[in-house]
Amino acid sequence: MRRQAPIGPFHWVYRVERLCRLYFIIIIDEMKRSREFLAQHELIVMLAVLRLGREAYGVPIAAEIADKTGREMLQGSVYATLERLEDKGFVVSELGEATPLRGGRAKRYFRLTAAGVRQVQQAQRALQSLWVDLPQIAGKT
Amino acid sequence: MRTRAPPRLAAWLLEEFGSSARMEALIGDLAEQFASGRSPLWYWHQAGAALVLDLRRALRTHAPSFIAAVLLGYAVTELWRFGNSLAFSSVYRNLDTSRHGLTQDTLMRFLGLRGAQASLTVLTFLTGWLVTRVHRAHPRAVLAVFALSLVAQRLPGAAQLIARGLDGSLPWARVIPELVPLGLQSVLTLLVGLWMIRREGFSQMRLQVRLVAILTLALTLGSAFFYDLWKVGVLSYPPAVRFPVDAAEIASGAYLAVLFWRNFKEPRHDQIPHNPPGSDRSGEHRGGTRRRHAESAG
Repeated sequence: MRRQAPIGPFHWVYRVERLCRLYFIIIIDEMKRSREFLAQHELIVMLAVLRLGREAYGVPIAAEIADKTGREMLQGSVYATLERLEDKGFVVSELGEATPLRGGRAKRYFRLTAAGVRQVQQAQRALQSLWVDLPQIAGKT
Repeated sequence: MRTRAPPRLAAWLLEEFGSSARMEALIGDLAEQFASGRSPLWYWHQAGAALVLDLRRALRTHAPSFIAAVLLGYAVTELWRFGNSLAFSSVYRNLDTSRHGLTQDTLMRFLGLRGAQASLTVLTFLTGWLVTRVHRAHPRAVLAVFALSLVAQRLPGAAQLIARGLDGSLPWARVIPELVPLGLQSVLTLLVGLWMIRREGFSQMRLQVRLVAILTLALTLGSAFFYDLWKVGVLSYPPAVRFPVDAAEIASGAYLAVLFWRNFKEPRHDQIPHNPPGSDRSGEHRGGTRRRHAESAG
């Protein structure tokens, strides 16, 4: 049931309270959506991990992205994205071998979890359905 | 064949101030790419960007405790200094460096100065410990920001002193002794904090590091001891001796920092190697690790 707006000098308090509640709902909703939807670079990194399979560690992931998209991604950015995906539960990582070439530091291999694979499939379906029946894009590139 | 080593300072900055759990792997990746022909400029660009991204992530995910840690360290420093100035004000008042020998008054003043110095040493340890305790997620980053804030706070005073030295209103012989301790507390806070994060006992350090640590400690304590004797007028401590000792103190401190960087690279707790997802790769380099795992399992 909707509350009645109070009349009198405290009317503005009621309005501010309603506004705050609205913003709170919007922020929470946005946070939920940001967890559910993949950002473009997150999707790109996940696809690179999928493509590389068992060889997916930092260097080949960045190389694969550069090769397929033509965009150089900062190594730190690749790791920041992977860390965020790991927090979301879409990616897991394990330490591999250390080599002299790497200054004795171990490689960290990444792979997609079942939830991660589902996310990629959903993104694929969503993108494909958006492309269907789309008239040819006009305009100069 | 020797592999190309990446720029040391950039690698050290990543090692020391990168707080992400993935930083070791990232440093390895950058080293691998650098060895395959990337330029030092590329390495610096990647390292700088990685540190900025790391700090941004730290601020985004742990901003309240990060800010609280820096502010708490700052508040404790200011309160401690205020308490120090109150407790030891009589010692600092009317200090006369002209020689008048050891009397009861000069002895008491000397002990007072020593007490003030000891109190500031305790403060250095306390703030280093406190700041890294309050924000445990990224101890190196928070420590660096805290130490930088201490430097930033003292920059106006230092600039003023240098300006007075340049225009000749204050002799350099008086400016330099004021400048030396300005940054010393920040540097010491940083070093002490890093040492506390690593939790490395003196006996665990390499002999060379131990010797330099002892030399630095002796120079720092000795220099402060003679400074205080000079300040109360017991001893003549001419600039010709004072400044080389100061320079030696700073140089030995810097060398200790370099040794920290070179010798204290121990793997973090999350760097214990496991088999990578491709188990067919596991036997190439890690037979020893696998054996150890099998032994510990047995």
